[in-house]
Amino acid sequence: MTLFLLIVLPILAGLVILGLKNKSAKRNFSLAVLVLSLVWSIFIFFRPVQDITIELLGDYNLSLGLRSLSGLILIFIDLFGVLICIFSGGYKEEKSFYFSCLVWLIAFSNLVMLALDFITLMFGWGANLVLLYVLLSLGSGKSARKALYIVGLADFLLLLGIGIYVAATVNITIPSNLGVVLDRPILWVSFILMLIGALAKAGCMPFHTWIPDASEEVPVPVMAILPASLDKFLGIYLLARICLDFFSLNNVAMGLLMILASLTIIFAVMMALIQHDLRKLLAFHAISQVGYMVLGFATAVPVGIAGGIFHMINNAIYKSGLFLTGGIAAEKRNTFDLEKLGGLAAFMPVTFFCGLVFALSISGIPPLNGFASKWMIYQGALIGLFNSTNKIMSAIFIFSLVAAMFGSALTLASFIKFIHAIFLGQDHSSEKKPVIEAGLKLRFPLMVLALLCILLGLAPSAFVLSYIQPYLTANIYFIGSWESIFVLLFIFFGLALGFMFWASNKAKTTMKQDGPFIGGETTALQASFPATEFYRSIEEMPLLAMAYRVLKLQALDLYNILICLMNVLAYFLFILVDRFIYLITNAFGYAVLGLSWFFRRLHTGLLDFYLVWSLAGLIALFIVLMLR
Amino acid sequence: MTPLTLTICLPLFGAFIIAALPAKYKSRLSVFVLGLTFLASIFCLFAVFNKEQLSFRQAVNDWFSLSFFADGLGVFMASVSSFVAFLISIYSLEYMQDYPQKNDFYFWMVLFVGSMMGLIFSANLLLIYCFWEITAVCSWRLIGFYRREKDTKAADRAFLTTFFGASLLLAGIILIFINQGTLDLNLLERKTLFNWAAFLLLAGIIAKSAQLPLQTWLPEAGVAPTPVTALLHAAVLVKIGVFIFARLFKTTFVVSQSFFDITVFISTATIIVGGAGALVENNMKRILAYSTISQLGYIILAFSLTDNLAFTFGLLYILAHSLAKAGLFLCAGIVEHKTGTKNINELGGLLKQMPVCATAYLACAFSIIGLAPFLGFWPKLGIIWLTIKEGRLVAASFAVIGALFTMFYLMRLFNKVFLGEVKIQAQEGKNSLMVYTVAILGALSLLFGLVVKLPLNLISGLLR
Repeated sequence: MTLFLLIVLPILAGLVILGLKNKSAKRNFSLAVLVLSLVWSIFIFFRPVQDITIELLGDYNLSLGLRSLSGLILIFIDLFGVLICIFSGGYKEEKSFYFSCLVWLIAFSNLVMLALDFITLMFGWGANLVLLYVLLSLGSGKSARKALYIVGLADFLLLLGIGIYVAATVNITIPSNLGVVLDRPILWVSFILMLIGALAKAGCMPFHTWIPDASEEVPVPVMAILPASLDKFLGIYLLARICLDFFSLNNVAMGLLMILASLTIIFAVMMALIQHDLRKLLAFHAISQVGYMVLGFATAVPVGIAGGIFHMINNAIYKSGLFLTGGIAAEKRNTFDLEKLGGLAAFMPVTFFCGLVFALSISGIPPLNGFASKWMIYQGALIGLFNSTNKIMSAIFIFSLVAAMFGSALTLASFIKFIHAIFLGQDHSSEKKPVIEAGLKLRFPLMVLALLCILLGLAPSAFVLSYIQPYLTANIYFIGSWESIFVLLFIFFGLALGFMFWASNKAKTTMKQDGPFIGGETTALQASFPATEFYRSIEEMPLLAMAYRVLKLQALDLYNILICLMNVLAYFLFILVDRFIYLITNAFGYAVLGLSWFFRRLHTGLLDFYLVWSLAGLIALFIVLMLR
Repeated sequence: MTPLTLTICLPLFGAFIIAALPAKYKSRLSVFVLGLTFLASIFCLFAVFNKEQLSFRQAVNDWFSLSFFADGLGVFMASVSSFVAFLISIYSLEYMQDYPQKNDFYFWMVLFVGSMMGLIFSANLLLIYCFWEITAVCSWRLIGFYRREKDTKAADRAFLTTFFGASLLLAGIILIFINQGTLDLNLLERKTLFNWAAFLLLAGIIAKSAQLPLQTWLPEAGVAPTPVTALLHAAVLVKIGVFIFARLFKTTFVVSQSFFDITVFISTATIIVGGAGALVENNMKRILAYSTISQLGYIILAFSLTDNLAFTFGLLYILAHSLAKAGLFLCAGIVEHKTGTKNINELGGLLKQMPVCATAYLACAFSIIGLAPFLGFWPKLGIIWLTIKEGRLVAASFAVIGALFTMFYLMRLFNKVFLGEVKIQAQEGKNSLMVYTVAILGALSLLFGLVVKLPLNLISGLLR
């Protein structure tokens, strides 16, 4: 019953919240429910409770319990619920159903995590899609529809894939041990379909296009909870279960996943590099990071898999942190355009510090958590490379390793732009007014997330070994040892050394400043360039320019392809089948009318006419009889 | 009077009383009669659930008897259709009040529900045929309600197509009588039905349930007033065919596997073609009519599977579809009533003006698409999985494509009508009965989805 409460309580609470009139009452009530849910999830993580089953029909049941990773992810889901709820309280005014949807979202995500059978999983999964649609429609109907179509397509394919899997393995409960070997074509079909479902939820290429579109219109907290954290949790969780429990991957499957992962990392980060809208920049990074997680699983090496799981958690932490940071900054200056921001660090030190931690973390700078998990994924790829006997596989390993590292470098490049454009440099806003630091409701979630980044970065192996290792069948073996504390000490030592140099030099010399000199004429001190300016040149480089042109092609957008395909199919079927039958029925109708017209014409009312017909009939009868 | 005879007689005789009464009482009395019919059917439902025998028998001769019986399938269908019909009658109180021909309307509608009840509970094949034709006559009058040329044409098309099917059905019934010597369903139970007779019966069902290739009459019938289309397309008329399919091929006769192979083929083809038609059309009612064609394919598909669970899911689909599709038609009706057009290209931005209607539309649409946590999710998932389980992977894939079509056309309709720029100003109006009705249908689609154990246990309890 305890598990049941994690789902039923928020669902009912959501209904109550919907009925509340007062905005702050809505927020406080949802916060209370979410905190309760968080406490509950922590409680059941440490003291496992009994599974529960609700019988529906035959072997179609709803069964809940904790298996594998679900307990851990459950805690993070509920934590994000609480943090986003706090943040939303301090953010702009939301629609009346926002808090209800938030609470329901957490409820159904909990359901996915607690699902022990496929029908429960699909139920929670589908409900998440509906809530995704409703929450994205806070932005605009168009982006919400795009998400619904793409993720909906993937969900239905997932349904089909799971159906095939259930039929092939004759088991409707979610397996939690070594999966079936991919040895039959039908299992391959099931594997690919399920993979599409998981990857589309996580936002992997080519199912990603709705994320950047939505980011431009949807309120920041929604982006921070959905594409940045919950969708990743659900998608990567399912991917983990597919790769670990449902199927045992072979080389082909691994290679396929690795190539997909590498392409996602590179292409998404390249697109991120040239964005001027901070939400779109983050959205493309949200896509790029999925590549790392998928890569971790694709290595099929314990350290890589653990790295993938760890990266999922880390990514959710810093990515939602980044969205929230961006949201605060943008709210202060009323723009999301990176070219119009700048110089906010002086006014908002806490937000700046947190933003910096997130930015460094996502770029994989030690000793933060992003580095720790990326490092594990690299190790996984390296071990895979060493163990591989197949030449093609070795090549793929090398390719993906290079892609991952290159992607990491580009991530750093784009986050230097992010931090510089928002917090450092000069103020490029039109008003140039000083702003005040964000309120506590906005700052608190940021601080918690930044603290998590640092803590998980300082003690990654402790976290991984105690919370992720138990769910893997093999032991994690680190080939590269890594002690964060030492690195941290070194960093502090370096900082202290630098400070000493600075302090000792300051006493002797004073800084001289000179005005700009242009051809002997005096000019005003206005020659400052936005941080984004430099990145424009990348877009115009000879080879890259072509690549960008292809990447930006609307025709490659899965959404457009899908719409086009469905419409063509629809017209084709409509005209060839439906209208054809319509024509035939009409022709039949006209034939009947024509026949009756013909017989009507025969009724002239003249006696001799009828006589002729009778005689003709008699003759015909006579001939027939004669011929027999 | 048992609840069984009450359920049949109330609307059948009530219709004539309504016809005889002065105009101002007709509308309210029809709501009252249909409400009582619903109550009576609920009594039947509980009686059958508690394993009570309900039957009425008045033998006439060896091939015809005035006999009725209530079983799980029958009471389920009766409760669902009478409930939706009741809601539609409440809706039409407001919708029909401005139409001059409304006096006719109530008589035909109540008579229609009555003949549906009679058909559901009939225990004799010929009696089924009689009620079958009464419903055809009622629908003919109701579709051609406005008596313009295009209305009568559409009505004729509907009548002729279903009559064509019905005559084949009658031929099938005669064949059964020649072969078995009786038309009593209870005596015919577990008898093997040879393919010829089965296909003749199927032709009637296909015509009534608008399956390929006899589907063209249903989209044309959209010219009727909205309560009629909701009643015919969503709740009652098209479900007759599906019901008879279940009645004959699932609970009475034993038919060969090759017969079900054919019906699986027909239903999957219908799912796809109906969905395609709905995506192409621009008229709200035609879109929803094609949608009905497509969704009925899922029900026939469910009934064509051998698994008993599939039968239960098929019945659940009937419930989900009746509620949600009635909701969709009635929403479209409100929009049409307030704006005066059915063309989705002339509409837009009504979300702000009609928030309740739009929300109800969305809930019903999600249910039809088969998204959790709405009711439609459960049967769609069950049917697709059970289809795969029986090794019909291609059919299951087509069913998934059909679901995608459903998502596309229902959301396209939503986007064009409720989102975007406002093209025609309209208000849904406060305290409108029509809005309440659609809100109830939308809420039920969600509620039953969340507590699906309730309808599922009810259905499996009834079938046991």
